[in-house]
Amino acid sequence: MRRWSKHVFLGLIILFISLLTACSGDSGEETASDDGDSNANGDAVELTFWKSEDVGRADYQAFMDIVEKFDEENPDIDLQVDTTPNADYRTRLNTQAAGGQLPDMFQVWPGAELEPLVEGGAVQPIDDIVSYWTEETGLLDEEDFADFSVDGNPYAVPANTNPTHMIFYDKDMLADAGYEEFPSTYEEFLQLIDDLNANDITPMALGNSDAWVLQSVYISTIADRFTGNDFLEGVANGERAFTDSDFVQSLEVIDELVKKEAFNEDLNTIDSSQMIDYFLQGRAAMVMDGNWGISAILENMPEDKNVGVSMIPLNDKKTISTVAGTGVAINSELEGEKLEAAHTFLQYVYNQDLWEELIKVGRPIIANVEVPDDAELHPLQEEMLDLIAESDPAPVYDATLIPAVNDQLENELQSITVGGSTPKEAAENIQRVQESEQQ
Amino acid sequence: MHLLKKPWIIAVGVIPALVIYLIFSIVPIFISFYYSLMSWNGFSEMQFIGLANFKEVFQDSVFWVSVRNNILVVLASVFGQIPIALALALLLNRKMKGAKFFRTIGFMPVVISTVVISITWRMIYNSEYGMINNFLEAIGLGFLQQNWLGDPTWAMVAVCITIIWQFVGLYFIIFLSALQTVPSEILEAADLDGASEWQKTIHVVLPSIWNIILISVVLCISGSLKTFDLIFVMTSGGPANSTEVMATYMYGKTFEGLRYGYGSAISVLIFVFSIALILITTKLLRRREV
Repeated sequence: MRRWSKHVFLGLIILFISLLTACSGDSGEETASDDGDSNANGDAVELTFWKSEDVGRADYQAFMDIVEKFDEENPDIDLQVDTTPNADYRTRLNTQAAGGQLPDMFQVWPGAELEPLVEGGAVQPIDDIVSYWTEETGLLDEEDFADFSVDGNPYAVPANTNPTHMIFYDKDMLADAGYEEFPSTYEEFLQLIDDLNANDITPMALGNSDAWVLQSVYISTIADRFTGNDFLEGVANGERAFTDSDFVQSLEVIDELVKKEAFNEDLNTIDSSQMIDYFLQGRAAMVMDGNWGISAILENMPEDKNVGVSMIPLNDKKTISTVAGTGVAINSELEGEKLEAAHTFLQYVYNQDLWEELIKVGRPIIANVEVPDDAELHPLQEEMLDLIAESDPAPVYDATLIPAVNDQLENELQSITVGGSTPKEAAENIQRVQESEQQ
Repeated sequence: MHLLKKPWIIAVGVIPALVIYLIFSIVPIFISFYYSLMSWNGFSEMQFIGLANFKEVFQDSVFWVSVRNNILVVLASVFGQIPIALALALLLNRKMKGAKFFRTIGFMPVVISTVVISITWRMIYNSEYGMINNFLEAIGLGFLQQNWLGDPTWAMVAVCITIIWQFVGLYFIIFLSALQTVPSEILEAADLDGASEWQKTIHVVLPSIWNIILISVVLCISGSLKTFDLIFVMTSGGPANSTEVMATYMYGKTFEGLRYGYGSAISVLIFVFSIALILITTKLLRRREV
């Protein structure tokens, strides 16, 4: 009796352990193959693809339409698209990358966010197919790949530029305050803020609860007007520091705007889409947002609203912080026919159609594509594209800084808005993190 | 056939659960001990840096803010949730009209998802269109209006009030069911002796549910040490770290700042603090029990 039970016990343990190992197998792959079977194309090459989701944004829709068309026209490739809401996407990607469980292809951001993925060996270069764009079709030039290149190797195809600083303003509200044109000097801009406040109108809508707005939309451009284009490079190699007086001056601009009550009081408790709502509801005369803000504005704008677009008038320079939009990178483990399928995907998606669609929804593209005849741009879109065309690019902080430093910068900016840090203290704190990260 | 006398049979029953528990709860604790000695961004090679992470944590003022806030949450829970829940339970334990209705209302926040609660309260607290400020304005107390979640002095208070509101219902139900177990004979005897309602509550009812109260306190403490979701959704630790608790700070450093080693060092400290606090409370409570 006892002996028999021992065998049962042993059997149970073995069963249990084998169950556990079965569970620990790559579950992602399992579900993917299930889907493949249900599509009745068992021998198709499977490709998993992650993208952040921006439901309601015209450019997101345009991209996804083309991805869908690819899936339909390529029955031999079984594409599994998995989208995550934009705000959570980076965290998910970074966590999965740390666990070594990335999909076959995934959306990446250029610059500082791409670098750790390259260093960690998570992505592979696409240099063998770059000639498709630079020579075969001539859609892109060699230097267009710069933002997605690390050590000279390109890792993704750029589609559009992403200027992160625009001021959208209500022309009628400004006219009521006595401004027929958007202020052209900083003094005039501050005067406008005072005049609007005197009329009991919140000058500028700001939703900084997620903390990136002041960094990406405000400081990236404002600081550049003081420090010049090579500041962040200088910080990285130790020649410059955040405590330099010109950077501190740019933090003082934020401090000044807060003290002048340029913003809505709840700036730290609403988010970036709510700030657009405030603007559209007429609760604020202006809103600073990236070029992406135009989608939500055009979508939800009341018909009688008269919106204009401009940039901050500051220090005689016309720079706007700009970085390439997102791209799609390929998992370093991909090889053989899967890699081939991934290359086919990139060549299909990043093509004339995509860029034409992006132009039609008013995104500033990176490609040698003419404006299609049937493109009907809204006057505001045309105004914005003209503004971008006459501006010079400046680096975007979160695309350039080490994540931990950027994190600190965003925190300190928030701290300035609640009177927790002075600009000088904030600069010192940021510099401290920069130094400890570089060690 | 006394199966349970045979240890290996017991083992068959226990081992599967134990193994799963070990893999998902205990082993990760040791893994984070290991990570806490490393400098690692999640992608590149780990680098051994000894106790440098801990040294940095101890000098990190934001970490101490988060510790202080965590203690505030514990205090608010123990001295907010438990007394209010107890008072409500004593009140609704009597035969009164609508008791069932109030019971349901009181328990409601417990079954609502934390995310829904956070977003709702964020709107209630909003300084421009929020219910509280509008209400204060309407009754002529406009000078009391605050930027509840946007002002570092009030943000933590506002968060604690929401936490109290969220869990009162849970302890309320626990106390209410405990009160039903108080033997009616004793209460009748007290009545015969001419005890007032107050005396009955203090000398008869409370002592008979004292153990339940103690258990609730322990639950309350361990629950509030884990606080994460509500604050993460409501303020994500802001503005300027003023509502940061240890768990949200750890999350921010690890997954947003990409410092897995530093984040692990914080989690190790959370672990140490929690163990210490739980040891202290059980010791204190045991003394009372004697």
